Amino acid sequence: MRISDAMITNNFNHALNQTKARYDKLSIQIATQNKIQKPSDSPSGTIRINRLTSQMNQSDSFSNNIQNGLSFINNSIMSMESIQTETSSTLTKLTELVNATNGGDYTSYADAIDLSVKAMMDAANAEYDGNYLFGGTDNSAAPFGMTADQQAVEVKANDISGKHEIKISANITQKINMSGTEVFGTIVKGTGTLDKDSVVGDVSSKQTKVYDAEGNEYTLNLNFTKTAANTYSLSYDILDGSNASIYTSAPASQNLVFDADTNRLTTINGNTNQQLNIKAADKKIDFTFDLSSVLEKSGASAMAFSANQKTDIFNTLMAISKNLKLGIAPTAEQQTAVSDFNKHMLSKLGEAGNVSNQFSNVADQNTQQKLILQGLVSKEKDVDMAQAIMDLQAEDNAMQMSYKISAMILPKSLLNYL
Amino acid sequence: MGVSRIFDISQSSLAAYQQALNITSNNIANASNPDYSRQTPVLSTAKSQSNGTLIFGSGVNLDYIQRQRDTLVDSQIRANNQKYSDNSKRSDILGQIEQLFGEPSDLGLSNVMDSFFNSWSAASVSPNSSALRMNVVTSAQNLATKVKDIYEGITEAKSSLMSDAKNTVATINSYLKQIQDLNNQIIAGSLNNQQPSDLLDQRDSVIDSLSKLVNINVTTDSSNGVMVSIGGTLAVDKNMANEFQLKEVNGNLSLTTGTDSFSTNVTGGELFAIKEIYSKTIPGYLDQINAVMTSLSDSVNQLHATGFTNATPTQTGLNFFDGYNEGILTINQDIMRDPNKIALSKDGTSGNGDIATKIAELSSAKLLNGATLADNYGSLISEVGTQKQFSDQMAQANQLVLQQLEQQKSSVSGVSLDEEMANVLKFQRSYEASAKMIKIGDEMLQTILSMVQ
Repeated sequence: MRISDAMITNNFNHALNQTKARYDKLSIQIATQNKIQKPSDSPSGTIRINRLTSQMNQSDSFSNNIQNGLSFINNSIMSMESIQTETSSTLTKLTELVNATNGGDYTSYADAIDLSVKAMMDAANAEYDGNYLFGGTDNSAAPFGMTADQQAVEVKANDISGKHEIKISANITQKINMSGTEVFGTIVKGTGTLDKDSVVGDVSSKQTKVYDAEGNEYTLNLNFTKTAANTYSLSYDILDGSNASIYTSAPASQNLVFDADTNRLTTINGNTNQQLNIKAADKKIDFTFDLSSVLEKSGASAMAFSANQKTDIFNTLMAISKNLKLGIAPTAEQQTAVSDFNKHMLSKLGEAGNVSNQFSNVADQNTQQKLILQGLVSKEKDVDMAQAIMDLQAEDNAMQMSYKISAMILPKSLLNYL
Repeated sequence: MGVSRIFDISQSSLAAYQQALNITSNNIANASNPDYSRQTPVLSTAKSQSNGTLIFGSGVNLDYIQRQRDTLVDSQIRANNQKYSDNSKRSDILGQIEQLFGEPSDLGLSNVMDSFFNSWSAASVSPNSSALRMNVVTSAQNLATKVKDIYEGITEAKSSLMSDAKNTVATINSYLKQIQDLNNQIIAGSLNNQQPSDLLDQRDSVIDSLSKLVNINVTTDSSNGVMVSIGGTLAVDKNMANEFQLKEVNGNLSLTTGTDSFSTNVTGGELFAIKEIYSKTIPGYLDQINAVMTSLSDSVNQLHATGFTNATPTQTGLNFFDGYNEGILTINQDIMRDPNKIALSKDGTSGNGDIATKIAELSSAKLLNGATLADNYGSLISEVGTQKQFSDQMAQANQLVLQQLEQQKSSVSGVSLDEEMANVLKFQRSYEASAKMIKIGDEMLQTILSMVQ
């Protein structure tokens, strides 16, 4: 093949340009420590980096949520411990009161119990980050306060049963609050079945006892009327000791819908919340009616109702204090109520502790997962510096050699020897 | 036959080698001219003369100047020029577009979208926190700004392509005019079997340049004129040069002649790359961005409208975004003024953040084409990267072929200084020898003259 001068020059330029392009790429990689500067460097690598970075961002977000949730639940635990300490102390006092030798000192016990109630109220109304710890999700008012006549404690917020849930991992949504209802509230829980085979218009009537803040007994009458397949209308009324309704007009009936396959209650008035708050402010009656365990099955309707407490701890203690001031010793029933609340608090503390532990565990998992993700991103993105520097050195050598050879060959022709 | 015959023969030799040296000199002068085709003198023995029974030679003639050119390699170079220029231009344009996305980095849309969804997740923890609500608004603004930047950047790139295409068509028309002019000059100069080498070089150079812009087909006629067609449409011959125009119909670019309403089939060169990216690639990218952002806006609004604000009185049924259209993601102005109007709560209580959680969960929901929004956006980035990478690789492959073809061309047409210097020596020696022969002839004549004296 005939070799023209332009061929030698073009070959040199082409080869040098290729070397310079590789040199430039390596230099940029070393300077930025990134293998991938733009999508075309590695389209699949770019997607993997974006995906992994996105997972890391999400993991960071979950970690922040966990930290905030952990702070919230730990504050709740501190308040609950404070309440439990007061309850335990009150329980000791009530035991002392059984001893006849303490009979003359009822007033000082009453004062101590009043102070405990105040301390417990204070803890029950505690806030963290602008949220009431036991206010559910309703921050419109402190959850608990005295009635206008200062004779009882009532729920001041509209609804203290709200669950505050946050995402702590891709698949875990965790409740971070202990609602006022579950900690302090009176919950009347229904269990049993409604007859699935009953016809439209059939009525199943039940009743149970409920109490006002001062411990007075009332009767809760319940009528479940079948209105369609798997659907019932629940009407209720509360009767006082003389069998008279406490309501001037009947409360609105509730529409219950059951799932035909699972037999479970799905909605109440179209809402998935399976608890009703039944409240009669003037009678100081306020309790949660929990229907989540009622099923619809073939067979005669059979339901039972039980309450976690007659009335809340505040009103129980206030009633004890009131009696003490009148020289009346606390009843065994009242002692049991306080003792039950103490056990309930210990149980709730355990529940809150479990949530706190779960947060810590998931936080550890998140940290671990983030480390793995960082490793994967690094593997995809980061430059192997030792390898890159060696490659750069090799390219530099090639370039210098190319320059030297070219400097020797390019300027020469027959002219140099004539 | 007299002594004077020596003078005649030597004179023809002197003239021939002087011409040969002129040609060599011209070759040396153009050694670095990439468009130049090496020329070689074609010498032949002058017609011999008969003298009785003997036939004597009459010296040497310079028959013609040979232009060294391989037309097969020329046509292959032009074919590869079209491919290389197409892929190289695509690579340039796509390189500009991929920079606009800023991936993979913290500044990319992917990361901004993550921040947007994560801001909802953070707000779900403390739904009544003004700072976290403001963070949602700020992250939404960042998202809107980023999308606008990308969209505007791509749209501007598209506008630049339009002016690029217009300039390219103007250059094509200019080249066609030049080819027609050169055609006429070459045909005029080719009379009497002469080869206007420099004009031919000029015309080949213009045709080569044209082949980088658009797909062409070149045929040469017996009179040395060329006929060039673009995508089957006659572009230029010795009689006329067509003037092409650029038209945009329904967002598609096409090349037509002034008199013809049919569009020319452009399949190669820079114009093809511009046309394809303008008419298909960029609209495809914009459609994908629009689909992702419309889905994001609609999905967020759908959930947001079911939530309750933290304002007094609480409101429901509000949209978070006023909408998305052509790169503009507009946040509800009421929410911009008062972040308490972000509806994070499912039940109207200020501590409920269920709607925020659900909106945050949209980041992993399969909202579009059976995939998440991030995956859809990832597909777009992958497409941009793959297309750019493919163009780079194809351009590199075309460049290698082109490099080899250029070497073949240079092997035939390129000047070798060594070769030319050898020719210089050869022709110089021949010239000197001829001159010497004249001197010898002169001496012989002097000898004869002295005999007479």
